[in-house]
Amino acid sequence: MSLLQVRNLHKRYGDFVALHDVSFEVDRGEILGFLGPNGAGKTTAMMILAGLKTKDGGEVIIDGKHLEEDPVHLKRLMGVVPQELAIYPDLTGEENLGFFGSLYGYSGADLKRRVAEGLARVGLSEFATQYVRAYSGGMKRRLNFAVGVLHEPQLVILDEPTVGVDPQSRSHLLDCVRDLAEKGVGIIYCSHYMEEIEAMCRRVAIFDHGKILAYGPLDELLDRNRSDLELQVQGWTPAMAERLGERVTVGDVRGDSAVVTISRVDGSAGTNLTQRLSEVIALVQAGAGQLSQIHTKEYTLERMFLEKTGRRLRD
Amino acid sequence: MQDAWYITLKDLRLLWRDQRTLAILLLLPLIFITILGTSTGQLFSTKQKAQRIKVGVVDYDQKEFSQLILSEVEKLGALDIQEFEDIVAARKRMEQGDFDVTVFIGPEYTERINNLRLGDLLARKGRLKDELDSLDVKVESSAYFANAKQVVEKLIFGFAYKSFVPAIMKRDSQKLAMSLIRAANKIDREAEEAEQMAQEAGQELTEIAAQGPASPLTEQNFVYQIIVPSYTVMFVFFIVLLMARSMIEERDLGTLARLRMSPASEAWTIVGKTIPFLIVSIVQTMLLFIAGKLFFAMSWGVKPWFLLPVIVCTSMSAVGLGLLVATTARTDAQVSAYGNFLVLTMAGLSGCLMPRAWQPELMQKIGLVTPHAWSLIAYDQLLTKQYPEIDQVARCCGMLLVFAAIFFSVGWWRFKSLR
Repeated sequence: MSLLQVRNLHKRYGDFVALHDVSFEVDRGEILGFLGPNGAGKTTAMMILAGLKTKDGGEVIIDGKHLEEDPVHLKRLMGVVPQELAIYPDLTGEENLGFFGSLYGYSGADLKRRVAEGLARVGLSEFATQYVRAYSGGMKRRLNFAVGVLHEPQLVILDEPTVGVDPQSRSHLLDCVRDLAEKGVGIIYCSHYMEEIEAMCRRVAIFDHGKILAYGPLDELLDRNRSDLELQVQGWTPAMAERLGERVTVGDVRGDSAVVTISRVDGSAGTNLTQRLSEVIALVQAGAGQLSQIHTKEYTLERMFLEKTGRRLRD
Repeated sequence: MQDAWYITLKDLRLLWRDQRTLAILLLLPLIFITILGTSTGQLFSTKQKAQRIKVGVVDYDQKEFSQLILSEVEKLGALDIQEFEDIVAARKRMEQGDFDVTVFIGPEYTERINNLRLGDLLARKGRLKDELDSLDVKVESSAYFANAKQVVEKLIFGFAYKSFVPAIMKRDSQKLAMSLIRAANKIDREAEEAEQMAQEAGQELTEIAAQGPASPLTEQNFVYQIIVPSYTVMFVFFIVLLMARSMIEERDLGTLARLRMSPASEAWTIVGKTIPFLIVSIVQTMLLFIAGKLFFAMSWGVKPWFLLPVIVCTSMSAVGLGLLVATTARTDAQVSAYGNFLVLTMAGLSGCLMPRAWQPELMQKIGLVTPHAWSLIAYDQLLTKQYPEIDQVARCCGMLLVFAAIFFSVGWWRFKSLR
């Protein structure tokens, strides 16, 4: 059984539907990527899981227990690393970890050990007694992470954990996340950095308008057979564009040179890619043009994301 | 329960590290009390008496009768007399505010007394019908001291009358004067005997009086008995701003959300967030009362231990209000706006800024909608009364707890909606 099961989750604020029929699962040791533009519903879903908001419908089952059954026990099972640096700048790193650790019931030598381990995990042992306000952005992010996982949760929600950090801190944080997953911790990883999601997650869920638009294993979603063909055409004219019509998507046009794309997945049934490529080459040559380059355009997560959510700017 | 303790410890640690704010909480009321003490002439003064009316005198007569008046007036502790040689100098000094009232004794003063007849002493329409004007004496003051001028006029006339009556009687009716003098001597003798008897009885009375509590109000401290508690109550409620800012900061940092995601219950989180400020508030009041005693000769009244429940209940209603403002305001600017408005308005309504006794009856009643007023009533009983009504103090504490409960409940309800 999955560590986390979310079924038909529903949430509305007045007339605005923030989440509609959202379902997903996280297994032990799995990192599930959450993607979506701002306001898509990811944060609402995470806040419901963290107990900061109540749901209007659906089920949330963690380790076989419904969210409402034993909220205190479930809070102990769950760790949250919020996007904001939810730490006290006027406490030291050690005091921050000690305080939050004590809220999870740790005290004495056990708490001390956990604090020391937490600091070591994120490479802050030598800065333990420094006030957090004196930390760099990367150090704060690392401490923020350490606080969220101090109590060794089984399920961790990470909301943009690497925003605004230097490559070293980023790499260290990503290693920490992988390390947690290897120990069997289920992780929800929310980020706008596609390359991070591609590198870390086995499954992803793409949110928009309160719904999950795509959900599944990354390999399946990023079907490599969906790669398009990109052609560089010399002697490009408007007449040629008219002749090619909907067979291609016209990209960058500079003087008499243009980049056009032939989509591998095409609406017109019965025509395969090779056939369409032949047609395009013939039409280009008929218009006194010629092909200077031809290559495969990879179907990336970013492309899929933009296809699913559109290019319109969000608030 | 333990969670509340950890949150309390954390907030106390953060408060301790913000020592400038703590210093302001203590120093600002002390500065206010000092300024007001100075304004009433009582700063660090255990010897100086209450404010006296300053009187400048110009005597153009310079004869026996005018000198008699001055010697009588100088005996009065309520007036501070200084003589001038001419009217212009005296008026200038009065304009500069060095004197409240100026008395001009004209050159015809003795002559006009000499012109009086026996009948003028009692006649309503005789030569004394215009009192001081009839004697060539004038009293002037600035508009601000018009009431003091009237008092001084009556006093001077009384002293003058007393000084010239025996002389006129002696001059106009030797027989009447002799019989009056004999009668006066008899009264003086009887008075002396009565004084002697009273002195013996008085010793017993003093012993009896000594059995009761001494009045907390003395000539040296009466101002501070009122302004120390008034400003203490006002500044105790400034904890509202500190508490609200702490909550807003916690919310802005995201640590409030983190607290709510922890296993700590909502109730203990609120208690933990409230207790540090309750402690600060109680310590603040105690330190101000200690400072009042050390620096301003303030008395803690005849039942000092009863001050403790009033201090605690006042602080509870202050932190209750703090929680309400903290959960209502969304930004630091709103905390300043709501908090300052609320704290100063309540202080003004309740009588923190001016003694409740000076307020019109209607305002005194309106003031009862504030916790400050109940606190002030309780402090007034305990700090100024020789026999404080403990029932009333208990009633005030009860009302303060009701305020605390209302503020706290609404604050808690608002806290639930915080994100």
